[in-house]
Amino acid sequence: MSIDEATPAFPFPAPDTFEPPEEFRRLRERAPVARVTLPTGDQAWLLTRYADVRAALVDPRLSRAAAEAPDAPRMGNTTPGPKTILGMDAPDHSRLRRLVTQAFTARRVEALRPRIEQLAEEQIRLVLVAPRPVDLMSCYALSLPIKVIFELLGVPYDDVDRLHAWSEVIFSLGGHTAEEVREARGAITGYLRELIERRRAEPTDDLLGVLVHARDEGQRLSEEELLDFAMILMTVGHQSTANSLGTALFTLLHHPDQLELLRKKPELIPGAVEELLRFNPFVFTGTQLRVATEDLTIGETEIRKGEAVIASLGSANHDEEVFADPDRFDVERTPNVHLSFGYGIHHCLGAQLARLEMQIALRTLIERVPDTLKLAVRADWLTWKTGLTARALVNLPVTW
Amino acid sequence: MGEQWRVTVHKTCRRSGICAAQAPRYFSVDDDHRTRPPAGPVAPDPELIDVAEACPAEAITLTDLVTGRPVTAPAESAAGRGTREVRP
Repeated sequence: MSIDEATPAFPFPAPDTFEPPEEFRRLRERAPVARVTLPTGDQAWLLTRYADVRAALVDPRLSRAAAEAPDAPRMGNTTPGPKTILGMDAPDHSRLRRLVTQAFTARRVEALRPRIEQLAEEQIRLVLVAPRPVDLMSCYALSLPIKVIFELLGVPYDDVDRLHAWSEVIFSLGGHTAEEVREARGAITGYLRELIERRRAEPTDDLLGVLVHARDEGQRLSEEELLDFAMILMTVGHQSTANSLGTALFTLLHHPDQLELLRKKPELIPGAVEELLRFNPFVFTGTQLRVATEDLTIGETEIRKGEAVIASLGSANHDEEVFADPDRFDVERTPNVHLSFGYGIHHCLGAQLARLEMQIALRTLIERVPDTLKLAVRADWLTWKTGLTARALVNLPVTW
Repeated sequence: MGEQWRVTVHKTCRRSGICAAQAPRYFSVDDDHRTRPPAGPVAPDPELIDVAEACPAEAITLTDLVTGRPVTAPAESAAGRGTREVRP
């Protein structure tokens, strides 16, 4: 039985930005498959229970490709695009994913550990010599993931300022117009097109070089797919990690007892990263919207072909059916089956890399910065970007 | 009796759900959120090789029950994938 009420606007406003919106709990209890109105005025079904969210993410009838159709319901001005890995279903999705899977497996990523540790050490030295308060967001959380993904892809770090500015617009964190998003996308694609031409003249063994090789030698993807893939790897690769890392550092500073626990027992860091990911407000808006390719039923709700479905990862991560005392932040929580990286074929390609970067960043910060480390301002004075795609900190001033 | 494979999901499984989405005939998720392989031996199927290769945790292995050796993609196909030389 679903509760008949006016369709609420989604994404929900959060009470204090870093805690899950109250509506999630209410909907999980009373209307787990709820009709919501999106910023575009389009309607969607919002799934808030863990079990429904996970089931939807492995359901081939809920299509990402159909959500990229010109007349499909829209969340806002930005969609990844039909030629990106995020906008595809099997078998196109599997074909593209296979090209880079090997670069992102647990073993491959582990091999990057020494280099990431070195980069973290370089960044933390900047933090240590900077005048206090230091903005951990710009000096640490943002710069580390950018350096890692640029190196992995083979994008020159000299161009970081332009590329970062464009990807901020593409992620639409500040609520940009459709026109601005299109322009930024054009700029980034133009940049990558040039870089790809240089790879053709001088082949490299970085990730971009591998994709160019797959295009030119194996005809395994089209030129447009190649460009879009490079764009997604670069933008998502640094934006999601940087924003998740920044929020993770904030969450720990906001729970000093938990931070203290990690100082005493650094072996808890990998588990703490999982809990930080579960708590990550980055996913409060849900996943990319999916469109039903046939009539189907979720719970007791009938969903018609062509209708939009949003699986809320943030709500699933706080489902009391799965997580005891779900709103408590507990770095020792185990098991921790959060869905922050998604689930199913679109499970985050960079999950292992993001985990490793967060683990190293935390450990380096804890080891190198004095244990008097604290937020330099009240938590409720911090500014958050609350655009459509994600929720993240603008800055994180700390002192010690 | 033809050739048969055993499918194993190792403890390194990070629950990406990729196998359960890609090959629901073979992989299921139980109430503990653990990924389960088929209970018994299965007939050889190239789809299983694809799924094993797609696992980001490299947690899925296939064993040829006749030879007792791990099943891997044919060399030709692996080279054709063009991903072996990645040195990030």
